[in-house]
Amino acid sequence: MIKKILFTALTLMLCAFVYTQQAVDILPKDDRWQPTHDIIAYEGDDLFFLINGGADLYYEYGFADVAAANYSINDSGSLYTEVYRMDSDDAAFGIFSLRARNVVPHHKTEDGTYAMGSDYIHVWKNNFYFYISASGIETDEISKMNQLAEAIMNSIPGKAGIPEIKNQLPDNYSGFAYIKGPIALSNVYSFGHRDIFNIKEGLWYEHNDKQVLKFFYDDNEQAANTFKNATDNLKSTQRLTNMKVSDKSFTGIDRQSKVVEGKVENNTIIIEIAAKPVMMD
Amino acid sequence: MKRVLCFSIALLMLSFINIAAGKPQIVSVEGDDAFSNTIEAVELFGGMQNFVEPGDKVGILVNSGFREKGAYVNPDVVIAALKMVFDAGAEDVVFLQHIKPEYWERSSLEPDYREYIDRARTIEANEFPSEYDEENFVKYSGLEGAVHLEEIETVREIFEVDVFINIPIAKNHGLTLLTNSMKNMMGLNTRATNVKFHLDGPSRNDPDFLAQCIADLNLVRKPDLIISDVMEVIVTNGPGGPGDIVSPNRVVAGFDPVAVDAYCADLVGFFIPDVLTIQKGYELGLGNKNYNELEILETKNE
Repeated sequence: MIKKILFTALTLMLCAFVYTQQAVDILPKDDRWQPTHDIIAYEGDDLFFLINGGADLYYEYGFADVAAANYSINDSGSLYTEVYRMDSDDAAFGIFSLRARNVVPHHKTEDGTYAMGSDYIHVWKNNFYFYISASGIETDEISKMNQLAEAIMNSIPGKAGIPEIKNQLPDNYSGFAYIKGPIALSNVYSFGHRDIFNIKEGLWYEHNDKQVLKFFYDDNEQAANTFKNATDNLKSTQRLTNMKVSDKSFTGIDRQSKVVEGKVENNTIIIEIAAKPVMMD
Repeated sequence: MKRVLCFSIALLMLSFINIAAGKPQIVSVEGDDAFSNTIEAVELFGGMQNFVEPGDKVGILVNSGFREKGAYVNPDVVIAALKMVFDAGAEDVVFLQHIKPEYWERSSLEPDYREYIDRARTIEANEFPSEYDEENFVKYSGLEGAVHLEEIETVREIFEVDVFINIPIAKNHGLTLLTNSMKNMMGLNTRATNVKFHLDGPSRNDPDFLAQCIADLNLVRKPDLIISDVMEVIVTNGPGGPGDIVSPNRVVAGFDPVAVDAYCADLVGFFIPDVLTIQKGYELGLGNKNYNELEILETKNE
């Protein structure tokens, strides 16, 4: 019994440690990785002083704190990183998925999930999201970026998880993003400044030459009511042209001449947007 | 030689159309070359000498502070504007928001126009996230007709320049949908002022409150000329990107910030009623959101 209590207490303490470790604690500061300037750290509303446009998105997901540092690699090259501690694993995964949605494939390892381009890398592990960008570094030195990413990932406690929401994705999807509110939605597709779908949780992905949006609701009734209100709004604002509406579905054409189809199934609203515009007369 | 002749004839014809139809209020030049599109756009307004007189002090505001393609103004647009401004006889040209040296390196024209770039000043204190200081900023409370804004901390020289040229990029912004001429004005302010636009509303990041603050801010000074980069722009994941890119391949110029924003919103495929800043600016009398009521000259730069 005492063993059990002790184990539970230790587990709780470990969890508390994991979730109270701030972003600034995650950044490496050893002989190998010495920041060139003081590390910049912000929490709460001060994120607006780090991000020039787009801070609101982090708040929508649930932001805790951030730390930014620059590491010199050679005379002219450097690596810049921003490490975000979010309120939850889902929040960090959401930011990662949105920031890296055009960078495919996403690689899953035991240490975290990452997506990389020629001079940058986005990484998600538990309630942390970070990215590194390289400047002035030759191609043969770009492995330093991966080494820094590894150092940061190793500092984040715990084993990397996989969000449940990924089970909702079909086979052969390309880019995807996990959406937690209207700002995130407007980063992938705009239905206007009003939150007509009353979004709490959703998914965006590309599949079979279409963009697919799925919004999830507590129950079927809530989904049906929201769908009806959203359809009425789309009709009255004329955001979609050639709109045809039936009981549980609609079709129309958006401002970029793409066919938009919407339907409600159980507790989910599904919107499909054609990748290519239709040929108009 | 043949190309030059064709170009001159085209310009002559366009000038004729211009005279026949009255002075255009928006010009929109399509072509692959941002530099020549910019030159032609201003030429269609009669040239930079119509805006800048010899000896003038000119302030230029450029959305240059992003890294991803389609998220910052193509530097060729700014270089073309600089060349025209100096050639028109400007004595002092100042970038009202700091432009980092590496910005110019993204242009292949930079070596040829280095002299022009070096002649312009930049307000280093107004670099994100700028902080108020008495030398570079003023606390201004003269926004007559403003709905929300009572006092802003804004860059001092906006009140000192003879000519103000606003050079935005028409791209996506997560909260305002479009950022272009009107929203670019936030580049004049300290960060503390801009944060209030986001946080002082009835709820955090209230889109209505933010749009009204942006419209209010535009009362500070109307640009004498707007040159909007609509060459390759992000339409998702803004303002920083990377995002989906559309390529209208256009440079759009005008004087009416509401009309230019509305015209550009249409160009990049945004639904104008979704862009609240356009509606708020219209309500505040800053310009005409029904841009079709204006004289618009659209040309192709072959």
